[in-house]
Amino acid sequence: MTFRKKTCGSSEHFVDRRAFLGAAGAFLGGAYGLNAFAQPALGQQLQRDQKRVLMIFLNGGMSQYESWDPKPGTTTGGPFQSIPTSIPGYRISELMPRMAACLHRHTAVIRSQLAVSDHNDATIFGGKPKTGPVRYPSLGSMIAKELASPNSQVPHHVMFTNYPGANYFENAGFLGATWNPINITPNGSRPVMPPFMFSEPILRLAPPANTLPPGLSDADHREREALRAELGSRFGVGRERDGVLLSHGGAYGRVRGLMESARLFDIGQESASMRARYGSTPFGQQMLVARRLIEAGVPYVRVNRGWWDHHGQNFEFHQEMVPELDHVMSVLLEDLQERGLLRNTLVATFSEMGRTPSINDNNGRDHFPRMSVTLSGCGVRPGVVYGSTNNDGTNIANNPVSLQQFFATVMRAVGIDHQKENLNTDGRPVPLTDYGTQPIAEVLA
Amino acid sequence: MKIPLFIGIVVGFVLTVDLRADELLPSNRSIGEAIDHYVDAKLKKAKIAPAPAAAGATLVRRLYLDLAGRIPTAMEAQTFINSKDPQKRQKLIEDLTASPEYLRHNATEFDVFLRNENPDGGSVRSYLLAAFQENRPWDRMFRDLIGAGEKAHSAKPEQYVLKRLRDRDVLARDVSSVFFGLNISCAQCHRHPYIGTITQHYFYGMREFFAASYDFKGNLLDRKYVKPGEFKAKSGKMQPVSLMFLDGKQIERPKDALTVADLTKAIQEESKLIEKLAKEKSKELPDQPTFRARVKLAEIGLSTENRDRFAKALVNRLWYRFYGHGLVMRVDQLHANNAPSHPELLDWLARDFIEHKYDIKRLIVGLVSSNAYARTSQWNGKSPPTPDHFAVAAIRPLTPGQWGASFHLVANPTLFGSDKSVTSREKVATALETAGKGAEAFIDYPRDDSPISASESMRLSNDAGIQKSLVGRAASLVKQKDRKSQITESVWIVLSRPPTDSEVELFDKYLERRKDRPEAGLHQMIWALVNSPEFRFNH
Repeated sequence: MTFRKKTCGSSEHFVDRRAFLGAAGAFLGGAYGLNAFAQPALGQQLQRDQKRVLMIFLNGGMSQYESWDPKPGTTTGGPFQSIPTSIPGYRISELMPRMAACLHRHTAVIRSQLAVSDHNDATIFGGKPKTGPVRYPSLGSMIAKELASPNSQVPHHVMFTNYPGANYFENAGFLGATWNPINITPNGSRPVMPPFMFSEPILRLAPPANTLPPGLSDADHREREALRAELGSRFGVGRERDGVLLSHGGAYGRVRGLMESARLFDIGQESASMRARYGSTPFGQQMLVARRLIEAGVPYVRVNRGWWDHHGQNFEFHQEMVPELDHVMSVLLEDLQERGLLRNTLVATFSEMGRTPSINDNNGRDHFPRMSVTLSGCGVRPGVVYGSTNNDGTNIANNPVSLQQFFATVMRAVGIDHQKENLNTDGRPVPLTDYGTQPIAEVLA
Repeated sequence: MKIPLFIGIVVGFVLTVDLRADELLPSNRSIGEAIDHYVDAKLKKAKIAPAPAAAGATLVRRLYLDLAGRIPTAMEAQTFINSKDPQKRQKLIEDLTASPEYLRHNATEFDVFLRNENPDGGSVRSYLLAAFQENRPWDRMFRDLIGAGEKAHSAKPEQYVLKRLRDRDVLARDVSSVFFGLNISCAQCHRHPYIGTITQHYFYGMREFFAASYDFKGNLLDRKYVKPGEFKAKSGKMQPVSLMFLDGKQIERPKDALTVADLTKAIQEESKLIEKLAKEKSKELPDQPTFRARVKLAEIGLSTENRDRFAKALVNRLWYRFYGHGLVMRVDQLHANNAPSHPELLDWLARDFIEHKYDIKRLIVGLVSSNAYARTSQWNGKSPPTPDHFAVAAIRPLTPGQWGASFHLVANPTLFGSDKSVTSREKVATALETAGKGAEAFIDYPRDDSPISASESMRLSNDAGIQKSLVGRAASLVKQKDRKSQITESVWIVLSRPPTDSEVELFDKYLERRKDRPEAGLHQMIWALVNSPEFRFNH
């Protein structure tokens, strides 16, 4: 049985996305995807109803003490105080005044998220081993595949990184390269791992090669492709059986569409005041471009902010980085709300781990497989604080949340059946989350 | 070679009974003959007429890509096509497998295969180059790579284990998958889903062979004393493990390592000693135990009872590489419940590989010598037969190495000069290898049925560097005497064949519309050829 959630907890009128697309497709002879933006009314409808996820990933492991789960006055608490939030009885770090003021509007906090204890990407693969014969897809690829519109001309899956280093790249695994992200990283389009973790952020806002190459006119670019496609279709005779061969033509078929979406990545299209609102940091500027993509219907966008791994000078670094997160996240939620996008956009904060209760000799906190995360917007019951830790935060007091449960909750919030099965290459069904996984009902609208 | 009808019938009959090795086709047949014997027999039984032999131009391109890791130059292709020598195919195979490009390409391919998609796995390519240079047998390479060789190799093949010590679970997976064709890692958490008898003991039993291994100043050594292994069973209980190979036989540890009065103390003392020596500048190594589990693994894996699995694992991998579909699919699922498409053929090839002392080069030469390898990839019948019939050639995406080297060849008209000296050929081979490495930035290594990505097509369509690299070729083509020869030469250079009449017409029209800027027109035509699937795939 297929589960599909019908509302986002919003009182506004909601049209089932697939049903809507089916009708629109029939209406336009199936060509809506090519021209959605040229049809203002339809484009807007599409933009409003399609669900998406914006993932804020805090690479390296942000401290829960200096953010969502402060314990001031205890031996583990560190120097910062807590402040009350707009959720009665719930306090967060004084480093996050803006989120404290708006928390009740859109956001649920999970203080009992289980995590991993080392810098690895098991976290975005739901804790699945990368060693087995099943190449599991990551969260972003699974969601992109479920939420992407057929024939969409916008990218399915985009990831921004503003510093070189361990970025925990998403991978579509057995779902196939179509669902891999377009990576916008300081290193170009390819994942490059350390050793440059602590270097200065580098700003990149657009994927490589999405505009006409120098010296080639638009007309020649199109005709050259038509010539290539003609050679391709001749070669395809008697070879129709091969899916990878077909995908070659498909990949070239997407080029013009992706070039059309170049303007989505163009931050110059935003007003100076909007740019100022998000802030001049690479994280802020990338978040603004991420918002543009979400607005255009990109189903999964992830913005990385790193590097939080503060084994030394934990408090100095958090004093600098948490307020930036507070600023960018609150502006983003406000902006999405103003644009009517929050009811169909889920904003999550997530990481690979949290930080230890104990403060080491270098005034740092080490790796801790417990963290606090948030969900805001689409499908979320605002003002919920789920799970808790004990007095000094050394352990979870109640309601621990597994990685699989977190995935299931994210999926359910945007109307995806978290038990849907995809077929592995060997024909074995693999569910999106482990059989029997329960999403957190308390957090869902 | 044609198989007489009666052999086909006889084989068709015997196929229904379980063949043992002594009933196989005699071992004095060539590998190519044996392949066609068994493949044709199955085709006959299924009443499938295979696709005809590929054109000479297709075959020469296929052989260059598979053996030298690049397309042939126009000249090389024409030489082969025009030759009347009945032995020309075998001669070309011999020439190519003796070339410096073969060594490099084969080393790259084996490096990817050995890495097993393990991001921490590192590269053992310099070792592989040395090993293929002397045509080192595969069993000796296995010993070298797991650090069980008779003597140390200067290229440090044991890096294969050293780099993986950080995560011994993955090490156990990689060794089982690569050398024995069985990925046992599902048994890390539960019984194998298809084979109930593959319990968690298999995974942890294989892992135990590396339990005593450690890195001492870059040397792969073994501890004398180690805690007996245990694992958390699915029931939640801790279970003891012994060394156990994939055949399910447990191996006794030597008594002295187990019966020492206080094992914990012995382990601690050994650790102290190792730490002390590690701090010293001397080259002295800690004492090594007489029983070394990795040596034992090599001994068992290569024993008369188990070497068949060892041989089949590589035969099947290489078959997959050259035929696009394994005799057993997936290539890391060689087990009793996953029958090969051609069981006798796999038996025969494994026996042949063992009898010829695990000679990789001989096996590769044999695999590309069959009629089955040389068919066209075009299927003009109604519904194409399933790939496990090998009735029609596979369409295989180029690896980044093959693509990069081939692109480099297209882009550089003067790459192969008149200098045919060894130094010059080595230099060219190195340039091609570098180009292949560079392509890894945007060409995915092909696996499973992974589609071609849009980031590749974007890059090739719009990247300024890619466009620029074809300028030299366009400048050289524009000097040709007329448009027809420009077209003919372009198609030869990129696709290793002459253009068809309708292609000449198609390109002529395209160039005519750009007669005010002929060089730009040629540049675009070359781009279209290079970006056509005919270039992107080995077909």
